[in-house]
Amino acid sequence: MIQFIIRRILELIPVIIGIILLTFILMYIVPGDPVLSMVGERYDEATLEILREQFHLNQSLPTQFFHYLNGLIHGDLGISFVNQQPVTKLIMERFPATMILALGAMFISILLGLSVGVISAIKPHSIIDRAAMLFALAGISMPVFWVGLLLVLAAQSMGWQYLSGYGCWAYLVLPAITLGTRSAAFLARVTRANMLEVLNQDYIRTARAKGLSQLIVITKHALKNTLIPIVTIIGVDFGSYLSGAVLTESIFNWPGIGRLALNAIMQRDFPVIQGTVLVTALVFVTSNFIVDILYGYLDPRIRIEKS
Amino acid sequence: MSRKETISAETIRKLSHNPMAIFGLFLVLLIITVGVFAPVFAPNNPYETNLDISLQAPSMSHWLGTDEEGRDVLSRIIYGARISLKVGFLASTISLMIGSLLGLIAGFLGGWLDKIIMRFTDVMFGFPALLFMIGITAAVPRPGIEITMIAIGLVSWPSMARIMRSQVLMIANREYVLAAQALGFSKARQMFRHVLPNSLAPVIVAFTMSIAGAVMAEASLSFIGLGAQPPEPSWGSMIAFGRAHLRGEWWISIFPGLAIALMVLGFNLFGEGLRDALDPTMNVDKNEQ
Repeated sequence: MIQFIIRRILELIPVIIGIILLTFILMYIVPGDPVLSMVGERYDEATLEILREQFHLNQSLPTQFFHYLNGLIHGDLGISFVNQQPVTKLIMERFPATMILALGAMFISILLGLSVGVISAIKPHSIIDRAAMLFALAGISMPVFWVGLLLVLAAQSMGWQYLSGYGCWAYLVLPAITLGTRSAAFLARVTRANMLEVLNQDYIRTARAKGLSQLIVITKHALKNTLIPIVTIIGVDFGSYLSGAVLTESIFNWPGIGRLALNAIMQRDFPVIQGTVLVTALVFVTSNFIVDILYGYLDPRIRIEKS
Repeated sequence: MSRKETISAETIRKLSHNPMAIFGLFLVLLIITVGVFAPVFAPNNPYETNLDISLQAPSMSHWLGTDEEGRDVLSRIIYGARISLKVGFLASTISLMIGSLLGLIAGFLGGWLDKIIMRFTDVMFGFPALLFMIGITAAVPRPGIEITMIAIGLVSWPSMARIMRSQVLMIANREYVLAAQALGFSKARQMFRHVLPNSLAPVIVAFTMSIAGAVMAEASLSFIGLGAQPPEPSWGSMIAFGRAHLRGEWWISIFPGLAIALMVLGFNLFGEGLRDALDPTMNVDKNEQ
């Protein structure tokens, strides 16, 4: 297992270096002078020069990369062009909101996805199964921002007050359902497919032949053996939620990393764009790494195969 | 009958026995027909504004109502199909070309080239796709449909590359490839004449499904104002413009969303049917059940 983890860490290093390099380069491919977006319409050459000096923009590309890397090592992602605050601080301030939303969406996804998937698999080809799979298909096909608007519409008609904002748990309900629906739909389909496969295995027949109840057979024998792909999906989805749910956060005015990134892009606030893209990519890669390790732990065949 | 014909006939036969795939194909063909013959199907000019009839509810004269500027929502949805189809096909073609070429080179030539390409693919996979697309479209001075297509294509190729590479690795040791090698054919000829045509099946499935993804991505970008620009009748931007009237005039946002969902559903169902028909392992699973 330790060998497997070390191998995965070694594979991760070039990916992280690649992400840092690509994030750095991306900002220099963008047309236009970044300091111009800092000063707005009124500026003079002297001010521009001072700003270029301050942000090392008048130095060579390798030197700028060195400064960038040096800052990264010290947890410094630069200063926002728009509000002059440290990017690290801006991201850290918004991370808890993104984390809460991710947890809420995951809760919805697991609750809906697993239960719908299991019920469908127990009664395959029944009306319940067909209705559930129709729900799953719809969930996969609907754009997330449209689901959000449908929920707002439904909530309005029911008199729900917490339509957009942040501060108490009630504000979490709509964005969590919006974000979790697609994942729930996907999870339901995967759970059903895996459960159907497992329910045909000999050990399930044996468990039933022993006279075990349906509940025990499903929860203790079948569900346990379908967990590996399910854990992977949950893990990867959680990583993607943590890396910023741009649309959901923007619809519900949720003060997370996704909205920070979107605002920065609209205002051409380059250090914040660079910082959020880098941090979200690193969070995503790291969460995938953890899923991989978990995968190897749950299924020894995988770590043997990958070694 | 040649082997190729047998596979095609078998695929069509399996597809025709899959009602969900048929339904998916029906939706896809319906949307393509509506999009191509938009001037025939659209009851009104989608760009024509008339403030006298703004925000009208669905009625016999305007089946899906009118928007803030008095434009017919149905006509705009019909013309919007063109934008979604154009972006869906072209963005997926860009990602198909980049992904399959890189996957082919990585899988067939192997060595350091394979390592570099696959690490680069891993790096690309690490970036949150939508944020990356937003970044590209926002970086250019004037966003529009063309930039949207390029952004989606540039961000979506890694999965194609992985699928192609794994397929090439499987094909590369087949007898006909080894025979081509023994006959002294150049690497390029082996790759493009012998390996590529025989590795395409899973890539075609991925292409079909990536159209659904591209349609969704275009709608998302247009929703936040970075895709199609007004007055273009993009489904995403129609939803965004209708947001302000959601409570009273829900039809402005709800019907374009339904159109997106139907198109994505169509391509997904057809793609899944194609995958089931082309992938023998799926058939084994189904027979066992």
